[in-house]
Amino acid sequence: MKKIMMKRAFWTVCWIFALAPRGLYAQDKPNIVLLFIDDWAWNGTPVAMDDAMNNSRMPVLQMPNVERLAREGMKFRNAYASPQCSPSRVCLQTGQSSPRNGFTVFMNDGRQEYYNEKQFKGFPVVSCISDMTIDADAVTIPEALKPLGYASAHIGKWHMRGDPGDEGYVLHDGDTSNTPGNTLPAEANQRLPDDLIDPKLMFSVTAKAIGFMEEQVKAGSPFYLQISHYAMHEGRECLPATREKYTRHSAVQAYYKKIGRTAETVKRKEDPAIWLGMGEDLDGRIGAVLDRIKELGIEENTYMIMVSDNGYRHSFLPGLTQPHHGAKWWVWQGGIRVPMIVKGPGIRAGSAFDGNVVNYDFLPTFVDWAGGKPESLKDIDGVSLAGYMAGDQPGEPFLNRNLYFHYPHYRDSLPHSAVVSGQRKLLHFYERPDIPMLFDLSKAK
Amino acid sequence: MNNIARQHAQEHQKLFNEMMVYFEKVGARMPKLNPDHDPEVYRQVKEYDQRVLWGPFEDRRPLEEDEK
Repeated sequence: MKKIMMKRAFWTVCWIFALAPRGLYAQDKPNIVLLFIDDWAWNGTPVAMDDAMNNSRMPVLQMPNVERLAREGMKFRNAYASPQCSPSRVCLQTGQSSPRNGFTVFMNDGRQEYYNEKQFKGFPVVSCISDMTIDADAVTIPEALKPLGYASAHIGKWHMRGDPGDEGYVLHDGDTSNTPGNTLPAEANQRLPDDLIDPKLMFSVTAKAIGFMEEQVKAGSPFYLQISHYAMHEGRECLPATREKYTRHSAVQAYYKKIGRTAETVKRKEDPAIWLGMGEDLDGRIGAVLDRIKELGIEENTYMIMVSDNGYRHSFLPGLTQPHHGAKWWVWQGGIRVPMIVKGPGIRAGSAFDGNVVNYDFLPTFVDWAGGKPESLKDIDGVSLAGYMAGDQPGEPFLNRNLYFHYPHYRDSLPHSAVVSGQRKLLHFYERPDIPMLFDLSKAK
Repeated sequence: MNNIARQHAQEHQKLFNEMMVYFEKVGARMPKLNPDHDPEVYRQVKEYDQRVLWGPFEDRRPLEEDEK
């Protein structure tokens, strides 16, 4: 069976190659750099994702390079993802929705399925098992891009089990989870060590990613580079000097006061100065990539995408008004709406896109950018956004297409699913099929 | 935040049907109601309050403190 699936994947990539326009030589093809950020809310950046909503941005946090990316590129007001990291990563790699690819939840090693009869005995619903690897017959980003002349690298967090090399990445960090990014022991929750130099591995991840870019430029090869940061996941870490700066901010001081702590006594896991510092340090690494792209002379031929893996609810600064209901592990807007900015050739600087886009649109978009035919990708749910980024106006079929979210599990949440269709959103909770739920997204949070 | 499903029952039904047809088409795994559901056991788990707070609701949901 696996052999048949592999054969099918092989022929799919052959079709992508066969249907590609012949005039595109490797050196003409754009490079693609994905900055994939972990657990970062729609309102987690200083860039307002919705100019009409002041609480669509994070106050206090300084990220000049992310702001630069938004100034030079296009921001997406309505970008969606899965409600948890691993399912989101699989959607991104395969162009398939979670209900289709079957990888709907991640559980720790040692279990092949999430439904645990003992743990959930007596619960109203028998929740689902989940795939725990990428399907063998799914065509991943590097597999789709390789026949188009691309070398692909994945640096940082993987969290999909399996070997990234088996999915076509020529350079990678292996099957990494959150663990390597937590460079401090869990019990070190009182203070940051003064000698921390690589928080969340963001400096080493960036250095390795830049090394890959340099090699590909030298080789004259177009590349796909997936910089998959461990930040901004909890287990917060930053450079001590960056934390020090934020401890002095009045909003942070007010938070310390609220929880009865000081900058000296606050625990690491509750210190907003470390989370803010982590954001600013991450921004510096994003800037390092942007700068190196410019120095390498490939800026005009490189797409850069910055997006979060899932929604989140950052709730520590006084006066921070949540823009959404719910959080990670829920398909409420707070769990699935993410920040997204794209810069690259043909994308108007400072522009914004209002249509709904989703993580499973990336694969066909990348294939399109690479000169392939996204319509040749079989059994995917995403569509190419390349035309819209180049200025095409989306029609009704795109604007009102259905985006599906499926989280049939008990985590902190409930087994539930959702469909977003234009300005409408339906949620379905399997415990309560008697309560129909429909929302007008132009009014609902 | 208004749940408008009752006022737009046909629209809800249409979208719900589309979702279920899609789930069936792509072979999605679906949860099932548990014939051995025990409400008392369920109420004892630590996530219960959160599940009630963010679970399904009719009509209007009151804003939480950090949403005001």
